[in-house]
Amino acid sequence: MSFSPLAAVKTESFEPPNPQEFYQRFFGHGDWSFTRPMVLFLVVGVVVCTFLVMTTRKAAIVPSKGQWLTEQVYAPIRNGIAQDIIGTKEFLKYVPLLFAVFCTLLLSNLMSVIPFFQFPPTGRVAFPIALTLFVYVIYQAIAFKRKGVVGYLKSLIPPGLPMWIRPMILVLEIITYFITRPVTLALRLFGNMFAGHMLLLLFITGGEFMLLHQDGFQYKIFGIGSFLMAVLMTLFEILIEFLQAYIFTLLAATYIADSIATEH
Amino acid sequence: MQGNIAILGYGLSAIGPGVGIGLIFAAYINGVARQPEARGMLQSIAILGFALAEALAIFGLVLAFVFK
Amino acid sequence: MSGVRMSQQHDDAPRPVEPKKPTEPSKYAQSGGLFGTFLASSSDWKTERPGMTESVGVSALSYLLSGPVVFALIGYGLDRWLHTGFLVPIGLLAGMALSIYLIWFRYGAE
Repeated sequence: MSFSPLAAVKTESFEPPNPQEFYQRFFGHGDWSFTRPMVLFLVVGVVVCTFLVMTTRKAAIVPSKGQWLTEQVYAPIRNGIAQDIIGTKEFLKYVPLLFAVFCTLLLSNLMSVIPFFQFPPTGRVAFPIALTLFVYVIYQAIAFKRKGVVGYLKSLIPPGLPMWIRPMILVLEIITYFITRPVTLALRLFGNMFAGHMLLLLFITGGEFMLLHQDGFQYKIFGIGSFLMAVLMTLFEILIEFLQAYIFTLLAATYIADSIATEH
Repeated sequence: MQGNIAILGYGLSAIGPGVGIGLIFAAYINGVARQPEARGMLQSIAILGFALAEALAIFGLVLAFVFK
Repeated sequence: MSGVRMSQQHDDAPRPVEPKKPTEPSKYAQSGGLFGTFLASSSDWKTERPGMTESVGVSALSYLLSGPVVFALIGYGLDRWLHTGFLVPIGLLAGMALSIYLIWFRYGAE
């Protein structure tokens, strides 16, 4: 096949990006292969750890630039999420967890648009599942420790319900607390990252195909339009990435707050 | 091209609730901005309206899986 | 430092119209106001943990998802067991009604 734009025939048909392209293996076989999101997640971990340690090791009252940046991220997590949701009494214990989750998620979402990395590890479903499992085990352990098994089940039913409807509500609440909440927590993050990256891929590969492999004036215009759309969508994606990291942290805090709450 | 037309139907059925939820929360934000002290009361109403509108979207989702 | 502050004050001084900064409404809005806290005090999660208000929508969504799915699955199992065909839609409707009732009971009732 010829890649020359002068070739009069349409050299190849357009292959839209498919989910198989998200599986990028470096070495290894099958379940034990070492893939691109794994590398990126390792990079995220190393960068987050070194940045946080470096900027907070010599914490001063008059902050340096790095410390200022860390505090700008830390303050909304501590005051806006942890304190407002978990309550002023015991929120401090959970701030490190929420802050670590937020930083990791933010950077691994942003990997989608950082040049040379350009792949979100959270666009592979295993990474949101692992993070969700981490949060899930913590909040269920807190709830069982605080309330006991019977107390936990009792606390699921809001008081004042009529007697005959309580068994059905209990079934609904158990399914919601133990299955629906973690599943939606993981799938919300995965779906947003996966679909966003897919959209960028589609606009860029489509624009490239129309510009270079198709003849005709109208294709050039559509190709340029497609690239412009890709730029716009990249800006939109950055917003979504911040938002999803924030929402994941917010919901994790909500679930922790629900499991330490003693009322209802 | 192949696929299930029920999924297409779900996409169409999600338009209405999407618009509806947008309207509900627009009205809620408007109300809170005008009268911040009524927030607690407005929120209950907004959540109820949201639940009723969202129920239609979830009906669509479940029916798309049930009646394949 | 003090010199910088002095000059800033000096800069601010020639504007006489501004001193009444509307600090009260913003504080009012943040705390929900006196009347707001009074209204919200009927259910304690609103006053004790003010941030919870934002995530109620998501909780409502997960109730709405699990209601019809769970009861439709129960209906499907009963259908397989009893060799009938009408229990799936009934479960669907009942689950939806139940989850809306639960949301109304938890978050809607004043």
